[in-house]
Parts: sequence; C-alpha cells; structure tokens
Amino acid sequence: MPSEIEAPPIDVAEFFERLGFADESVLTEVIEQVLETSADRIAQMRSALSAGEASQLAFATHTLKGSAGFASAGRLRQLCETIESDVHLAGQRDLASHLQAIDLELGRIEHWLTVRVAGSSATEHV
Amino acid sequence: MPRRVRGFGGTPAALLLVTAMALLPITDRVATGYEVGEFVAAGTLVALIALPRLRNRAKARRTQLRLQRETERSAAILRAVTNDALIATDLTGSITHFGVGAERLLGYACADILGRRADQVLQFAPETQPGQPSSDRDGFWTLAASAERGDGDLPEWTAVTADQRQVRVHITATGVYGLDGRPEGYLLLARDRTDEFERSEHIQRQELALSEAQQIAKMGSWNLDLRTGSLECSNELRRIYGFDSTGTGSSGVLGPDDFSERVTSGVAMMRRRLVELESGAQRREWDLRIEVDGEPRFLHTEAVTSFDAQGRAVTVSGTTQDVTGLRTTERQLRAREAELIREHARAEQALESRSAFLATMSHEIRTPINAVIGMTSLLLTTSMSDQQRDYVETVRTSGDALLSLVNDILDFSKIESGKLTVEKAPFSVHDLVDRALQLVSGAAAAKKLELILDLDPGMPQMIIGDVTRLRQVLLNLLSNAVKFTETGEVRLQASVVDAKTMVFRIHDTGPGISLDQVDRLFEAFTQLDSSTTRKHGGTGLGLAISSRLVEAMGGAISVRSVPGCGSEFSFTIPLVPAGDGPQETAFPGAGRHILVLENNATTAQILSRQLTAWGMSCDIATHDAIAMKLIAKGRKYDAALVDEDMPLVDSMRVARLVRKHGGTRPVPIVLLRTLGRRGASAQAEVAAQVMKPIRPDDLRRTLLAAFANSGAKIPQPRNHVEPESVTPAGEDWSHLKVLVAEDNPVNQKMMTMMLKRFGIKCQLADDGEVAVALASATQFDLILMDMQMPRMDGLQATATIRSATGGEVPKILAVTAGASDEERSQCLAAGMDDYLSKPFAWTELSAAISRIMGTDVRSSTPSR
Repeated sequence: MPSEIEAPPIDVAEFFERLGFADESVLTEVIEQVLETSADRIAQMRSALSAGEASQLAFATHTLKGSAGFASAGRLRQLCETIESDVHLAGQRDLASHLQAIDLELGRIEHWLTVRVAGSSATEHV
Repeated sequence: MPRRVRGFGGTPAALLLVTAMALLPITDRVATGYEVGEFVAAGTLVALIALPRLRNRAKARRTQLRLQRETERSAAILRAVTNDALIATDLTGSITHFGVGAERLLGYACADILGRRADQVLQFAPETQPGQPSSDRDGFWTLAASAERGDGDLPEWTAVTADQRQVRVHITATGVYGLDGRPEGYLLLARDRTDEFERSEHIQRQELALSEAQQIAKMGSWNLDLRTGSLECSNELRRIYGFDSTGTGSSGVLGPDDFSERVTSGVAMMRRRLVELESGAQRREWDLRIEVDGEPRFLHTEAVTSFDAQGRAVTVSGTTQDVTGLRTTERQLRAREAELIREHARAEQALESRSAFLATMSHEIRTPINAVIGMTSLLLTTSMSDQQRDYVETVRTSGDALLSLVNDILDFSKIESGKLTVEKAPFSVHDLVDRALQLVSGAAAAKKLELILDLDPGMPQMIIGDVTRLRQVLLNLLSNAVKFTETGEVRLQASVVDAKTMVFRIHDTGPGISLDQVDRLFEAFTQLDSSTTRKHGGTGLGLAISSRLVEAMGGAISVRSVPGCGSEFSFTIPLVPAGDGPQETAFPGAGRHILVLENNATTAQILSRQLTAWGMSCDIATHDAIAMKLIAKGRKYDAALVDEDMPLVDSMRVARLVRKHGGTRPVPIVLLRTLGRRGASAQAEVAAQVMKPIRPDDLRRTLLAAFANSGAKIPQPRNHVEPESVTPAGEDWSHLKVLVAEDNPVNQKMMTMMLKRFGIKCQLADDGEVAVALASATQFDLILMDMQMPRMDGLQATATIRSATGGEVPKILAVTAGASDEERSQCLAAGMDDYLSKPFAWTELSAAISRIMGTDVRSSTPSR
C-alpha cells in the first residue's frame, strides 16, 4: 500500500461522465465487481506467464483491461495494456514485474474503495 | 624568210627553177614568198611549156592551204574550249606542242616547256590501284611504246603537275607520222578524270557499304515493276531466299525466273499483300516462313507502293529481313519467360510455405522460451543459495536474449516476405510514449541514466496509426540508446512538425557513431563491429526492422551523431489526428508560482515549458544553493518540484524553507522520483511524487491533487449528474427489446446501467450459446454482442443468429475491446450492423443505437 499521495486509482468524474449520471452506489458496485473478478484473472495471468502461454496471458489481461476501462481505473488499464501489447516484445522479467504492479494497483483500488465507502478523509480521496 | 626571184630572162636557170618549184613539195614559206610580178613573168613560160601541170599543182596547193587554215582554226577553237591536255613530241621526246589544256592540267607554261624532253619534265605513271600510281619513272616511254603498238587508250593513269599534285587522267597516246608514213613523233591527249573517278569510287564505296549493311542486317531490298513484272533486288535478298547473286540456288537448279516467281508470288501471303498494295494500299508489312535447304527461315517484309499521275500503282519496293535469329531468340525468351513464371509461382508457393512455417514456428519457438523464462522467474522467488541464484539469473538472462533474437529474426522474416501489414486505428500518443519509456526505465535506472520525456504540448491526444509498430520502433531505439549510453541521459521527444507530420527523436549522450558507420546503420545483419555483438548481443536486425517499419508507416528514419557526444535517432510518421480528441481543459492551478529544483538541465527546461503552458510561472534551480538564494530574496512559491537525485538533506532543507516562506497556506512538495530509488519519499514534507520520466498528464494530476490537499481551492474538474432517462431527440426507447451478450460482469453492469438511462430494460447472456438460445426464443430489436466470450464467440453467435432469422432483425452491435481494421471487417462480414469500442461512454452508445436503429444522431446532454 503506497503511503504517499498519488493520483487516485479511479477517476470518479470520468466514471460518472461515462455512465451518464452520478450514483455512488453504482460506482461502488462496479468497483467491487472489478475487484471480485480480478482475483480469477490474476490467477489466470500467473498461470499463463509461468507456462509461457503468451496468448492465454494476453487474453486474461484483455478481460481485466476491459473491466478497468469501464471502471475508469486508468492506471490498472494502462498496466494491462502494457502487458497485452508487449507480450511478444517485453522480456518475461518485465511481464512478471508488470503483473506484480497490477496486483499492487488492485490493492490500491481496494484501499481507495474502502476509504471512500467509509467516508474517510484519507489523502487519496479526490 | 621568203626567197625573192629577181627575174627569169628566159634562161635555163629560170626554167629549172620553175620546174624545181613545181616538183618540190609546196611549203608555207615557198607558197607565200613570191611576188605577183614574178609569177606573171614566169607565167608565159609555164603557158608554153608546162601550163597544164602547173595549173594542177596550184589547185592542189590552194586546197592544201584551205585545209591548213581550217585545221588551225579548229585547233584554236579546240584549245579555247577543251581542258584536255594535248602534248606533241618528236621521236626523241622533245616537246613540240604544249596546248592550253596541257598548261591548265599540268601547270607548266607552254613557252617554258617547248623543246624540253617530255621524259625529263613530265611524270606519267599507270595506276596499280585506283588513285595509286606505280613507281614507273619511264611513264612517257611506256606511253610512247603503247602509241607505237597502237594500244594507246589508257584510262587509268596518273600525271604529276608542276606543283607536284597527282592528277588522275585518261590518256590517249598516238604516233605522229609524216606524209611519207614515217613516224615523226608522239601525240598525247590527257583528260582529267580525277572528279569522275572519285565520284565513281564514292558510289562504289556506298554500294559496297550498303551491301555490307544489308548483309549485316540480313536485309535485302527489292523493287517490283508492276507493269512489266520485272523484279530488281539486292544480292542480300537473293541470299536470304537461298540463291546466289546470279539467282542460282544452292542446289543449282533454280534460275532467275524461278527466283522472281518465288519471291513475288510463290508464297500466298506475299501474293495477298501485293494485291493489296496494287489496289492502293500505300504500305504493308508481313511475315513469312520459308524453307531454305530444309531449314526454316523467317522473313519480315515491309513494302511501299508508288503511283503514277493517274493513281495507278506502278512499282512496289520494299525490304525483306531475315529475322530467323530474332524469332529464335524470341521463342527462347518466351520459353524462358514461361519457365520464369513457373519458377516464380514455385518460389511464391515456397514463400507462402515458409511464412506459414514461420508463423507456426513463431509460436512453437516462443512458447518453450517463454516457459523457460517464466519458470526461472518463479524459481528466483524461491529460496536459493547465492550460487544457485547466480546460475538461475544466467538462465533467465540467456532466455531473455534468446527470445529477443527469435523475435527479431521472425519479425525481419515477416517484413522481408512482404507480409507486413500496417494497422490504422486511433491511439493515445501520450500512452504510447509513456509505455515505451516504462519498458526501458528499469534498464535506465540500473545505469543511473536520466530518462526524459519531452512531449509537445500541441500534440493531439489521439492519432490514427499502428500503435504496435510504433511502440516496437520506439522500444528498439530507446533500448539501443540505453544500451549504449553509460552516463548522462536518454531523451524521447515527440513533437508536431506540421499539420501532416509528427516526429519522434531519441537522443542519448552515448559514445556516438562515426560518419562512415552511419551509412550502413540501417542495413540488415549489420552491427558497427563484431565487438558490439559480443558486448551487447542482438542480431543487428533491430535498426533494419525499425527502418522498414517506419517506411511501411509512410515515414522516414534518420540519425545524427557526433562521436563522443551522443546520437539522435529520429523518425517521422504521418500525423492523422483521431477526430478532435479530448481537449485539454484550462489548468485550474493557472497563475501559481512553482520552484523547480532539478539538477538535470534538460528535465528542468521541459518542466518549465510544461508549467508555463499550463499558465504557471516557475523558477529553476539546478542546485540547492541557487534555490536558497531565490528563497532568501523573498521569492514565494505555491509548490516545489524537487528532484530525488538532489542531495537529500539539502533538498529537504530547501523544501522546508519553501514551506516556511509560503505563508499561512502549506506549500506542497512534489518529489520527482526515479525508478528503483527510495529515500525522500518517506519524508513528511513530501506531499506527492511523480515518477520519471515525467508524463505531463501525471504531473498535472499530481499537482492538482497536491494543491487540493494543501487546502488550495481548485475547481472541481467535473460535476456529478443525477440519473434521468435521456435519449436523442427525446425519443422513447423503452419499448426496445435489447439483449446484452457479454461475459464480463463489470461490463454487463455498465451496459445495463447505461441502457437503463435510456429507459431500456435488457436481458443478459453470459456467453454466445446463451445469446443464440435467447435470440431464438425472443425477437430482440437489438443485441449488444461482445466479441470474445467463452463457449461461443460473438462472430459465431452472430452468424448463427443471422442464419436462423435470415433477416436484418435483430440489429447487432459489436462491442469490442479491439479497434483494428481487421476486427471491424470481421464484425461486418459476420453480419453485424455496427461496432463500438470498449470502454465507451453513454453518449457513444446512445449515438450507436440511434445510428443502428435508424434514428438521426443528435448530441444530447443529460439533465442535471
């Protein structure tokens, strides 16, 4: 969990703009779904990476990227795109580190959601 | 001098004299020397004794005189009008006559040459060859001998003039005889035939040249008189037809008539053409095949007709060329061409097989390598001794290198086989450069290199191009820059050149490249020297691949380098903005004053330019002492950007000073961090951090957040809205039956909520099979079809639904995460009506539904 102040993991304004209306419960629901489904995705990605199955890795990442896009999770989407597009370009070591970064970003999203739902005045709040 | 007879006196002497006179041959001198009186005196005697005889003699003498005068007059006329040289000599060769023509021809004056010996003065010689006189020094006597023999007509002789010119002459040599028939001398008549000879020889040479030319070209000429049927032709034409020059064939059985028959009418084709030519055609050409000595011979003939004043065809003349060699060559070439076409087809087939093989190998080779790398990566996370770790690291490093090599070779092979295709799809330039830099940031950090992004503020957010290829090129150039640079910086600059072009520049502070090496830098299989391969590895294909990719994208790649100072690789690509793109809104923090404490001058300048573009002002301090001075002068700042590489204690001291002098409001300190370094970020003074290379979007967002947390009041970027049913033009879409075929719950949720906003309640299908089943049970108006679903994908489901319904209902809208041309084509080909790229906004979905359901699209702003 990063201790410094950084840009929030979810661009709430963009999310509501995409959705067409501002509804905190929808936001929470969607982000929770992202977090729920991502566990499976991360497991699939790890498995594909260790087996050297580039296409499977790309597919799993693609799915997570789709969720991240709709959820306005910019950083998460960016990390997924990096893996997806660089599967054949980057070395395995880079992919592993990107996967780790995705894991960390999901943790950051979870923390952000917790703080937001709890109405906390944590520094990450927009 | 005439003798004078003084008187006769009837003396015998007088009589003797008269008698003698009568007997003597009459000469000029005698005939003209006596006076009339004396004749009268003698007349009486003559009358008495010899009058009749004298009378006869006088008559003869008068005749002789008359003849003599005629002869002289003729000679005078002859001298005046002829150029022929008339030379007379006596038997000793002494010149007795040298006419005007001789003077003109030979250049001697008559007065100078009369009486001189012709064999000593004049040079005559017979020609051994045309224009080539023999060395005969006794030419005159040779002529004399010919004259004596009576065969003195000598047409080819040479005379030498007084000024030593050679004159070609036709000489007639005759003897001069006295009345008694005895030879008295020689007469030479020489006519100048130099011009005539030269003209004749010129014509001969031309005829010879023409004949040789015809022989070389194997082209004969002919002329057919249509009135008489006579055929004139060149020797070459005869040869072409297999006859010798007299018309006798090689077998010796054909004569001229046979030849004529054969040439003009013996061949049906030629006969037809001649009829056409006789009928008024001006020009014809045709080809014939004949046989000569059993061998085929191919002839090409071109002929033209001449007409008389009445328009009747008179003659046909033409050329006939033996093109047997040409036809043979053509036949061979056609055969070779056919063979080449077959070889090309075989090569293409082989190429396709190779491409297919490579595609298979691409996967087959990469998969085990990826497995090796993946497993070693996992292995490295386990507990190992240092030695074991070292071994495994080596395996992984080797695996990375091997994968890179294989990728290069496969890529290059694909390019070489012409299989490279360039996509055209919208993408974010900002994301592109950011990700490319991310991929090399680890290597740059390990070498403590400053990695700098310099993004043109005027760069459109989204452009159209092939993002994968661009990233590959950028990554190659950036990797090289990091690889070859030991200290200093690597800078990626992306800027707009003009409305149609953008340029990427990758600048490094590496060792540079000498001029002679630059030329072969982009050639395949070339590295600057073998030590490069040994030291840095690689195939040497990277730049060649980059070069080809850039060219394929319509750009050009180049390099500038100064040995010892660094290199700059740059490449252009066409700039095609993707629509208007998201416009950058005015920066809410405009007007603020920022301190930039950054020891890298390039980074500091870029930051300054960026902050200025956002309406802020800044002071740059490349050293903490400078910053201290600025603060000491009373400068106040709203925020400070502090480079992590600055000495930690001093930079934090500066930060504290900035905060202290910032007034009542806390001044946020934003740390500019480099990957892999930890330190100041934990300090309490640090409000936020931005990773290098600094992406403008990140800096902007971080500054906004920092200002917000510092209590500074900044406007909210976007307002939240309340849900309310909204459709274009206020239409009622609530009756629409919509199916969402999508396996991702997040996407399902978002689409459901958006449709709800349009008043639409939708059904959900988790995969393609369910979607097909639902579509067969319910008549939907619209299906939002995901492309990638388990069990049955969107393409297959669409095809199944379309084949079942057989019509245009339901409308099917592809919702796809990809945006490639190929994917779009596949969607439409499968029977889908339109497509939408995920993630989309409600406005885009609204527009798509409106489009697909036949309603005019009108922008609509949700109610607030």
